[in-house]
Amino acid sequence: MRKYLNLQMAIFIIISVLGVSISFYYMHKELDYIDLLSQAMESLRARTELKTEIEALTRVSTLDRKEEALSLISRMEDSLKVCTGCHGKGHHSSVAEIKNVILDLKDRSFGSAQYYKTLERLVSLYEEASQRGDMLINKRIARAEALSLTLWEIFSAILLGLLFVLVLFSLYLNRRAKRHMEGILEAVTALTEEEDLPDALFQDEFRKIGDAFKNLQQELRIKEEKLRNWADNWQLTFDTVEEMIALSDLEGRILMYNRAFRDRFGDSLEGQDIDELIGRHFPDNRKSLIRECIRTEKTHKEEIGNSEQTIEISIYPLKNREGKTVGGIWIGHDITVQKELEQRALHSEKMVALGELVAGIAHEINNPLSVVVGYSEMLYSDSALPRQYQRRLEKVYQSALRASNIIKVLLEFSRKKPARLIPCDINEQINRTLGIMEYEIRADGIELNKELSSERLILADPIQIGQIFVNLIKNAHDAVIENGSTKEIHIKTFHDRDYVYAQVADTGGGISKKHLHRIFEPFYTTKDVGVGTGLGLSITYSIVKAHGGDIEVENNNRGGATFKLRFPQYREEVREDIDES
Amino acid sequence: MKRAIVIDDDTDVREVLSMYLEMMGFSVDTLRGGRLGIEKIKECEYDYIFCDLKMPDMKGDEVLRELERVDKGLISRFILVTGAMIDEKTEGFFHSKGVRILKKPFTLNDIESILH
Repeated sequence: MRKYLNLQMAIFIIISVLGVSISFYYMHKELDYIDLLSQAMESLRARTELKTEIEALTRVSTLDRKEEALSLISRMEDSLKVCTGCHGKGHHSSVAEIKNVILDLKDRSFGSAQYYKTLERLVSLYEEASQRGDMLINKRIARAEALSLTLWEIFSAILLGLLFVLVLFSLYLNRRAKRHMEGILEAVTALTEEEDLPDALFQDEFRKIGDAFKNLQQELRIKEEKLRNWADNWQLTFDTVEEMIALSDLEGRILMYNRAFRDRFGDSLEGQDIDELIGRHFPDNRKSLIRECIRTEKTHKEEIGNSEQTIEISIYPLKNREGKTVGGIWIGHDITVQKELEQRALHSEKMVALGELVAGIAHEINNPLSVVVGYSEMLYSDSALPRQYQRRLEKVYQSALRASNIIKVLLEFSRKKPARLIPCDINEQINRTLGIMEYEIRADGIELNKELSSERLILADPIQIGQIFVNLIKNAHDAVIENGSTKEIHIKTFHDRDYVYAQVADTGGGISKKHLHRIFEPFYTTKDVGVGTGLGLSITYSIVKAHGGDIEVENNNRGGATFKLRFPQYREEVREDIDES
Repeated sequence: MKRAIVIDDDTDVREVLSMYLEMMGFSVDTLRGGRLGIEKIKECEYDYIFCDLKMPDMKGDEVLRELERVDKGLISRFILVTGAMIDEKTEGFFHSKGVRILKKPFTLNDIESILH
């Protein structure tokens, strides 16, 4: 467009220059013609004047009017000056001759024969010069006519003049068009670069274009704003969801991912192989999941996990509008906590089931047990029997009582609530328990350390709290006897602002990792069949939980296990508040 | 001689409890169901009534209610014998009546302490 305009302008300039040159040529020619004509006119006028004066002189000479004649002679001299302006040169001899004759005439005495003779000569010379002058004038007119313009020449001059004006006008228009075109170009640049439109775009007849551009710009701005909002909202959504999301291409290379994915797997993941990345973090799981999904074009769900985390993943083929698979979508949902809760719920369910089971069978077991206890008691004290039998029967009696005790514990355990809650001192309960067990512990050569520094009360059923420590200390005792090279049991209590803590630590070899998280499950025992019920720790667990407390176990650095308990502290003021309200 | 009656659907339990009581010098009658027991109690005077909680024909608390209708004085002689866990409602009922509870399995010591 611009090139075309430049070419157009060049052509216009050439035409203009041509037009102007021709016009000047014609004008010059016309001026020459006018000049020649005016010279001819002047010459004619001077000759006519001279003729009039000569005729007048002829008349006055006869009437004896000397003064008048002299004045006419001097006027003739003046008139002749006009002629000599052009014809005074050497080759125009007649004019010079006339001049000389006039001078002669002045010298002759008026009225003398000489005078008349000279006058006659002047008349004859004038006639002669006049004829020659006519010829010259005619010649000159002819020359002028030759110079004068034809109709065609005038027409073409006007045409060229018009063309010139046209060229000038088009040059003006061209300049304007160029300016506005530049304005439009600037406007387009402004549109793409989000700047304000140039003022030039709003002048004269271009105002409409300017307004159109303005509307276009506004519309573009609105659309861009909408697009940006839309994109922002999606990005926000993408980053807000807790699910880890990543998109891959057909080869399984990561294209983009959200905040949750970045938080889990790190930054700068673009271009990495997603299957490899997941494989590095979860080495025990099936590989190439996303590639398989892209290949089969089928949605796939599965749980992957390591020792710390479980993730439920969903993999979808990413399809374009035509339904063609162009990549994969990987979505991971962290279900670690949920899994843990499920485990705990399962544990609670086990406990509840156990409770029901125990309640159901207690009656059935206690009846035959009553018979065993009853008869063995009656018989072992029957002096009619040999002493040896009495002793054995006593063992039957004792064993039956132990079995009965287990049933009682189970029945207690299957109750949902602690029987009787009173503020009690955990140290006192530990001491009471040790009062029964300490002798046996020391008898087995075990060093028993107490560090009971808790000074706060807990709200609890003292019998059940006692039961907890019986179980834990008995466990520690058994473990140390079985495994401990050093034989120590360490019991410790302390408190902070909110809780009372108790710990039972031993040097009995510790608990293997696979048992650690199952140790509180009912009927889970590492002891030989018949030695442990598999219930001690799960009863302990239930009691602690029923008191709003917490229990956990870990291996300590003394080569044994430490059970850590925590109970909410009892506060006098809280109780008073409740009483008052 | 003091008289006691043992009501239990389990023959062996009836036998062992009656033996204990006889050792303690009681004259003991035994019956295997609540209905029969109530009829017997209506006929004879007993110092102690040992009654099981879970029996096929009647529960221990039903026996007690029936006996209460016959004679309120019988409640103080009633001793509930149970090997099962008692639900809170039933336990509350017996507690409200001041009924003594003998838990299975029992020893001579348990019986003696409950009678004194």
